[in-house]
Amino acid sequence: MVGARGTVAAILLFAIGAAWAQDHAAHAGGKPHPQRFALGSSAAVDSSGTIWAVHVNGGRVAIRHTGGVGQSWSAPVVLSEAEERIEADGDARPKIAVGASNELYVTWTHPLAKPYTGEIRFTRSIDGGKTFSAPVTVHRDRQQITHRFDAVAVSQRGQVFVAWIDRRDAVLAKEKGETDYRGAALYYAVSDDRGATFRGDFKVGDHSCECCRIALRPRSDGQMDAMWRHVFEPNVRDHALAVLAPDGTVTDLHRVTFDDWRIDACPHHGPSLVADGAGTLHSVWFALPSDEAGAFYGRLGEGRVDGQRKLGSAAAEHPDLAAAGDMLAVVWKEFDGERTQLRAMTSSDRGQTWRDQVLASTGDASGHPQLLEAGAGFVVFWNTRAEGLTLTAVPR
Amino acid sequence: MKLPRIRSWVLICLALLAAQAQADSRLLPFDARSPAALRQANAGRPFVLVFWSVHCAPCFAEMAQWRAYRKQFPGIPIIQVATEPLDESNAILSVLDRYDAGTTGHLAFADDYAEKIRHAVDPKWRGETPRVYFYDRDHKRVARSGAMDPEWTSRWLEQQSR
Repeated sequence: MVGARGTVAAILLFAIGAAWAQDHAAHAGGKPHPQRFALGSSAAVDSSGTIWAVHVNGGRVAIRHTGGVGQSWSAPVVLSEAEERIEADGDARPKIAVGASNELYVTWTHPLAKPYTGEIRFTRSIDGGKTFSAPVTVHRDRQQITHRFDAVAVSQRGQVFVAWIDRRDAVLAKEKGETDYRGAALYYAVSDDRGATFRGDFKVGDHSCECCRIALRPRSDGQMDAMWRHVFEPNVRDHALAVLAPDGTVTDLHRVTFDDWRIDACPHHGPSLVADGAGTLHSVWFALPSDEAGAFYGRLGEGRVDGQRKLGSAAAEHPDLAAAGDMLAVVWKEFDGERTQLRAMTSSDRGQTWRDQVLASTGDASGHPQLLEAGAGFVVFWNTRAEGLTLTAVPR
Repeated sequence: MKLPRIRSWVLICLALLAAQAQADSRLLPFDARSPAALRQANAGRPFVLVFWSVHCAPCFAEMAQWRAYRKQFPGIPIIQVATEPLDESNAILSVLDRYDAGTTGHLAFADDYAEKIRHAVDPKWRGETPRVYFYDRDHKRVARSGAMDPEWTSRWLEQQSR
């Protein structure tokens, strides 16, 4: 007997094509997939030059370290609990920041049962990675709603900032019958005691985009710059920047990119933000107001972007950048139809002129590349299916 | 629109056999070969290819509309593909249970080499969702990113179903 459900199945499978369905039946026929080593991962460098990476292995957050390029990784140490699901794809990936005394601060998003909901989880090590605390939830709000896309950074005064995307205001607006609340909101919490406790939840602002990572940058005054994809009226998904104080005060929320990308979509493609030695803000981001657009670099000015340029070809995606004095490096990935290229451009004059280079490539899936300042130069951390966790020095 | 009767029944039977083989997986894989296979299976017929993501609130909002369109235009296949890999089926199915319960025949990316699959669909697609391709009878296609424009979509479906 074919009920309503069966009819739908038949129609869809008919459309897909029997040959194709048969072709795929073999490998979709209940055989478990090989244990997946999720590609969403992040890295940070401590004061001794040791590189720490967090990634998801066998469904749990794990941490490993290495002395640098060309050296092997330590065995993974598991940080999350066995029953806890972890988000680890694209911009939703575990994050790590290092304190001045080599404290290790790790966050991740634990998705809850309802779609699109989650909690921001946190653990720390204050003994240089020998032991880690039991994971805790950072935010006070415990509704089963979106708290996702965590970001973590340590201020110049050693305070730990954790920011995330939060839908509590969207939920409230809906309950009041308002249907036009744009996007979600941005919230943060601060720890004054090296991650033992957090104060919060402090609101940064309404109307963030719902699915892009947040960029945090420690300022010299002890506050934190946050940059994120915003939803400006009516549906412009350009970027905003604000200054977060440790007491929860938020100042100077303003627009910093001007591509006028009008869309109700989920780009899943967040920005990065650094400052050079003179204090100029440099950023990479993604915007698609036309087919010719894509991944961009630019210097954030007052109400304008200076030196904005498109990165690579039309396939350039998921850029990151780093700065050290007058030196800048930008990295991104680019699929050429056969392989995924890891490409970079470097500048020794604070972004006035650039040199393009191809650093590496891989023939299978890969995570988002991340630039680190390690030792005397820049190093790209890139998690690839074929090669595992890789480190590539960026030639100057 | 009329379909050649015998051919369609043979194909449906084969398809149901295939479906049975995958009874435990409610999601079919979509890989780099799939765009060509879809065009072949739908030769001479318009179809719609909808890409969505578990991270995408605008995508959830329009699932009910696609469901209504499937009923309203049974001659135009509307094929929905999650851009998450199949082994994240828990997350994908929890969205479908909520927004498109009871519908089988959904697809998901076969693995997480997303850029390769996307390239096979359209080198110009940058991964944003919703991303929808409207293939006409000759498989000339229109790509649209972002929340659905129901007026435009209804008009397209009506024109194609004539």
